[in-house]
Amino acid sequence: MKTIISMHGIVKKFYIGMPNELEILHGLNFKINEGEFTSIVGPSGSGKSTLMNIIGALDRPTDGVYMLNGIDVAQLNDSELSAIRNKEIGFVFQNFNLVSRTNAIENVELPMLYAGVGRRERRRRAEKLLEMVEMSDRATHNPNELSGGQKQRIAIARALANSPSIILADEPTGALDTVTGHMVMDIFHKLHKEENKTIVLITHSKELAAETDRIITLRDGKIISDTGKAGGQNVLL
Amino acid sequence: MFFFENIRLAIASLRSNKMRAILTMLGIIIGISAVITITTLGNSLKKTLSNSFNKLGGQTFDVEYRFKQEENQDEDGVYQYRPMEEDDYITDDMLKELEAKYPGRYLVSRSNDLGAGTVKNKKGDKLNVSISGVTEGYIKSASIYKMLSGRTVNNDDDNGRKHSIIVSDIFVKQYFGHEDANAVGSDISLDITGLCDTDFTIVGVFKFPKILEKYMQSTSNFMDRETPVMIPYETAKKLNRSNESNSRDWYITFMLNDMSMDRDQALRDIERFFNEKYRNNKYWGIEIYDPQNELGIVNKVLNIVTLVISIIAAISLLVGGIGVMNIMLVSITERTREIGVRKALGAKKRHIKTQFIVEAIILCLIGGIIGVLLGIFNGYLIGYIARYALGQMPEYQDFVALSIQPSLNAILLSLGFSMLIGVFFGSYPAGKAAKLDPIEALRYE
Repeated sequence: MKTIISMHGIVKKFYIGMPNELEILHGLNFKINEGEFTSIVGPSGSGKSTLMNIIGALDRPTDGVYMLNGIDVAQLNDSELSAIRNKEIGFVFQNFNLVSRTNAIENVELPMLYAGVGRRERRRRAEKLLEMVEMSDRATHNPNELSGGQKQRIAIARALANSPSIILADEPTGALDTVTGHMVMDIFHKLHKEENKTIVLITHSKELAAETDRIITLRDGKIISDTGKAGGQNVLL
Repeated sequence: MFFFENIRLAIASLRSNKMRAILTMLGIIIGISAVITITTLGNSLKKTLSNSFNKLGGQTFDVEYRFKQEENQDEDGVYQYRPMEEDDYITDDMLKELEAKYPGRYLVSRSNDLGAGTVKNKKGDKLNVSISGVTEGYIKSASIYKMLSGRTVNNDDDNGRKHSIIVSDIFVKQYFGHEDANAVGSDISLDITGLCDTDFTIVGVFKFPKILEKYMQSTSNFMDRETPVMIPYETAKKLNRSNESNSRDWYITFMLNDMSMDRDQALRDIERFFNEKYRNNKYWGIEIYDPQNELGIVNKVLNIVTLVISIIAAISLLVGGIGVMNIMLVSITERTREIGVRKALGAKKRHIKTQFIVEAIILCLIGGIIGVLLGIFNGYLIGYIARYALGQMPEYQDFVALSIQPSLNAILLSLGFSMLIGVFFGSYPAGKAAKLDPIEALRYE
C-alpha cells in the first residue's frame, strides 16, 4: 500500500530562542496510507491545529521529516510549499472560506487557476465536480447566496479540483447543523469508498471520528492513541 | 489568461465598493483632468495660432536687404553706411533665374505703394482709395484677400504695364451704388494724388478684409470710407517714375506653391541662391525673415506654461496616488482571510502581488480615463466659450481659425502615468499582502 503521509520525529516550536519558547508538538511519528480515512482528534490545545498546518504544508516543522507523497516538505521554500498545497492538498475548512464576490464555479476553478490549467479545461472539470457534489444548479451563485451546507459542498468540490493526494478537512461540519453535517460527512464517505480518496479529518467530535477508519488522538502534543479498523497498525507511543 | 482573470477580479472588487472606489479615484481624476484641460488648451492655442498665422500668410517668408556692417567697418569699428543704389536691388533677371532653377516652386509676391488717390463716380462723389502695385502672387499669398469676381492682376498685366485694377466690394457699392453691380470690365478714372489722372479697367473684385478697417480712414459716412485698390506692380513703378524710392520694395515675399514641400529646405535654397548673387556686393546682402520664427517663440512660452501647470497638477496626482495606496491597504486588511484562502489553495506570492497591483492599476486607470474625458470636455467647453467670445468680434473672424484639439500625446502620457501611479502606489500594499502568513491570514477575523 502506498504511503501518502509519513511523519518522523515531528517537532514544532514557537518563539524559538526566546524566554517564552514553546514546544507544541513533541516528536510525532505516524504514517497514513493511500485510501485511508483518518481522523485526528484531541482537545483544544493538544496541537491539532499545529499538526494540521504542517500536514497542509501551510507551515514547516521545526524538526523531523515530513514526507508527503514522496516529497520532503520541510525542505521546501515558500513558493514550492504553495505548489505542494496547490497540487497535493485539498483543504476543507470549518467556515468554508469560499472567496466572496466570486461565484461557485469560479471558486472551484481557483486551485486550477493557480495550477495554470487552461480556461476550457478548468470550466469542464469544475462543472464535473459541481455535478458530483450535486451543486450544478448553483454554479453561478455567489457564496452569500448559498446556505452553509451548499457552501461546504462547493468547498469540497474546490478541494478536489487538482486531484490532490489528500483531502484535509478541518472541522468540516463545525459550522453546520446536524442534518447538513451528516450530508457533508456522507460526501466524504462517498469520496472515500467510491473514489478511494485519502482523507484526513481534524475534529474534536468523538462521534464524527468514530465514522472514520482510523483515529489518531493527540494530547499535549503527543499521540496518545492510534486505533484503526482498516489500517490495523496501531502505533502507541 | 491569468492577466484577464486578475482584471476581472479587480473590477469585481471595485464594483463591490463603488463609493469608496470613486472617492479614491477623485484625486487621480482631478489631477488627470487638470493636465488634460491645460494641455488641450495649450495645444488648441498653438493650433489656432498657427492656423491663423497661415491664414494671414504664415506660409510666406520675406527676403530683405541687409547692409553688410561687418565688412564696412573702419579700424575703430565704426561702420561706414552706404545707401542702396540701383545695382543693389534684386533684379527681374535674378527672379527669372530663380524660377528657372526651381520651376513652379515659389510664388513671388511684390508690392509697392503709390499712396492715396481718388475716383469720381457718375454722381460726382469723390471716393478715397489707397493704391498699391502688386504682382500676381500678392493676392494669393496674402490670404486675407478673397476674390469675389473676375481675376487678380497677373503677369500679363505686369509685363504689359497694363492699366488693370482690382477693387473691393465696398468700392463697388460706393461707385455703382449697389454691391451686386457687374463691375468687372468697367473703366474708372483714377486720380493718383500728386502724380497723374488716368483710366483703369476693373479686372476683379475682392472682399474688403474687415481687419483693414483698423488701418483705413473710416468715417461714419459710407461714401467717405477709404478702400484699397491694386494695380500691376510694373504699372505702378512706371507711373511713379518721378519718385523712384517709393516704387522700390524693401523686401520680396515668397510663398511656397507646394505646401507639402519642406519649408526649411525651401528657405535654405532661397538664401543660398541670393547669397550667391550678393557675394560680390561689398555693401548689401540679403536676409530671410521667417514669420514662423515668431510663432516658435509663442509656442515656446506656451510649452513652458503648459509644463508648469502640468507639474502643479502632478502634485494632485501624487496626492491621489497616496489615496490609492491608503485604500489598497484598507482593502488588503479587509481581505486578509481571502488572501489566506488563496494561499492555502496554492497561490504563490507573485499571484497575490499581481492581483493587488492589477487592482491598483485598474483603479488608477479608470480614474485616469474619467479624468481624460473630463479634461477633454473642459477643453471643448472653454473652446465654445472662446468661440462665443470671438463671435462678438467679427473683425477677427476672417482669419482666426479657432481649433480645439486635445493633445494625443498628453492623453497617452496621462493614461500611462496613471497606470504608473497604480504600479508605484499599489506595490507596497500588494507586497504586504503577498507576504502574509497563510496561517495567520486564515485565522483572521
